[in-house]
This record gives sequence, structure tokens and C-alpha cells, in this order.
Amino acid sequence: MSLAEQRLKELDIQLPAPRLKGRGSAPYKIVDDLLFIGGVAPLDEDGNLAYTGRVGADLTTEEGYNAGRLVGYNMLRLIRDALGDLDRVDYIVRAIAMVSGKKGFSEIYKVADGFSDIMTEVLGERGVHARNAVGASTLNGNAPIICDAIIKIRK
Amino acid sequence: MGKLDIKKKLIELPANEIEIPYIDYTGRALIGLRESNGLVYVSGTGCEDPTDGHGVWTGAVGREVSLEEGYKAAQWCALLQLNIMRNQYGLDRIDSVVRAFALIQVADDFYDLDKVFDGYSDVMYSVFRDRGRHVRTIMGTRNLPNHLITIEVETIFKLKD
Repeated sequence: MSLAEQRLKELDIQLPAPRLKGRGSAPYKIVDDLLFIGGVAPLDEDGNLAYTGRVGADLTTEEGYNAGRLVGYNMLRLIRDALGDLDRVDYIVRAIAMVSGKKGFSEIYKVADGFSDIMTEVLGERGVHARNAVGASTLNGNAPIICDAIIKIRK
Repeated sequence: MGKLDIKKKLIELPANEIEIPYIDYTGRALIGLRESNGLVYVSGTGCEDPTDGHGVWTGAVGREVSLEEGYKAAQWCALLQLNIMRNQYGLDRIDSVVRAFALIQVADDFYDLDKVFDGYSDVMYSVFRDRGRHVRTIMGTRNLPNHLITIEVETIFKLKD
């Protein structure tokens, strides 16, 4: 068992199954040594949104943070599907965290931290990434947070 | 052949036939693109008429613009980008569509953003099939430039070696 897989087991983290979107879109795409991951929502094991609503109105910042962690699990699952093994992650290059908050909500970074924390908890130093956290007026399905990422693949 | 009429906002795309409009950019500012290591980064492309700069679709999906019209606006962005790529490289040089980042102006209670952006993804799939499949990041916003155009898309293409 790889180190990251072992870590997942220790943390008792189950990675939920991914959901396929429209025919023209792909959940991930590999170009040379880069893995591109499309927007990932906080989905439960059945592929439904586990959290909906705007942070600051329908959800607390803490709930938003937990939604961010769930996005992280979903993304790790996608990375494993794409690469076969999380140990093939050289490092995460960059991520965008889009957070849907009520008007004036500014704790976007705290919600995005849910995602970032999972990445470093599971991948360690390799999970550290440049991050662009931005407030969205609305996200698909009324999700509170959606993240994407670009990942460098180990040679 | 697929038919595209900007003024009537009409885009009909039969499954295997897509007509990508030829647009005369003479004297106009090109929508920017930049190549690095075989990847082409195309600037935010709005649902505008590039010959006069006017927004063809303006307003929020779910309020001023229906889902169906939003889908067409997304198709239009895809066709504009293909036009830009053809002018610069020729379509045969495109290896694949890698990633699209979409900003869509939506009403506060409109949540079907994926379905709007399917208009873009469906065009890329129709033209390039599996090579047209891309990852996408879709964000709802309350404001977009040029008198509140409905959608703007930034894309990374991969060129053939």
C-alpha cells in the first residue's frame, strides 16, 4: 500500500465516487506532466451535493469549511482515478476555490482552507499549493464551494 | 450545414456538422492568446459580436436570459474561440481542448450553471470528439464587462507537436 493510501486509511477517509458530467466535459485531463482537474463539488457517496446554500446565509463558516474538506476528498478520489496512485502526485501546482457566500461575506479563505487542509493532511508537503480563493454569486446546484486544481505528475 | 446568425441569435448545430463562422478581424483588436510549451492560453472570450464589439447576449441567465439562450451564448463563445484559433494556427493544429474557465452571469436563484455551459462543451465535443473533452470550472457572477454580457470563457488548448 502506498504512503498516501496508508494515510487515508489511518485517517479513516473514504474517497467518494466521481460523477460524470455532460459529454463534452471531463472530470480530469492529463497533458504531458500536468493533471488538470475540473471543478469539484462537495458530493456525498451517491454523487449528490452534501451541502447546499450560501455561506453566511444558509451555512455557517464552519459548515462551509467542512464542505471544503469534502471537496478535498472528492478531488483526491479523482486524482487517484487519474494517476492510479496518489504517490504519483509530485505536487499540487495551483487551485481555485470558488465560494458562494451571501453578499458581503468575506471569510472566503476560511471556507477554502477546508480544501487546502485536506490536501496537506493527506499529501503533506506535496499538497501545498498556490490558491486563488474567490467569491461567486452562485455555483452549480447551489453548492457552497467548488474547487479545481492543476497537479504536477511525478516522473 | 449548421447555421449561425448573430443578429437572430440563432445557432443550429446538427450532430456532425458545425459551421465555424469566418470573422474578419481586419482593423479590430484580436482577442488575446499566448502560447507556452505547446499550450495556448486564450483570453476571456465573451458572447459578443466581434465585428462591432456589442454583446449579443446580455443580462443574467434565469432573469433576462433563458437557459436555452444561455446555452446558445455558450455555444457562441466556443465558435468564437475556434475562429480565433483557426486564424492563428488552423484547426488541424489543435490537439485537444484542455481546460475551460467560465464566468456566467446568473440570477441569484439560478443554479443550473452546468447546463448553460454544456453549450460550450457540446460544440467542442462535436468538433473534436474525445479530443474536445475538457475539464471545466464554472462560476456564477453578478457582473461581467461590456454592459453585462451573459458569459465569458477562458480556455487552454493543446497544440499538436
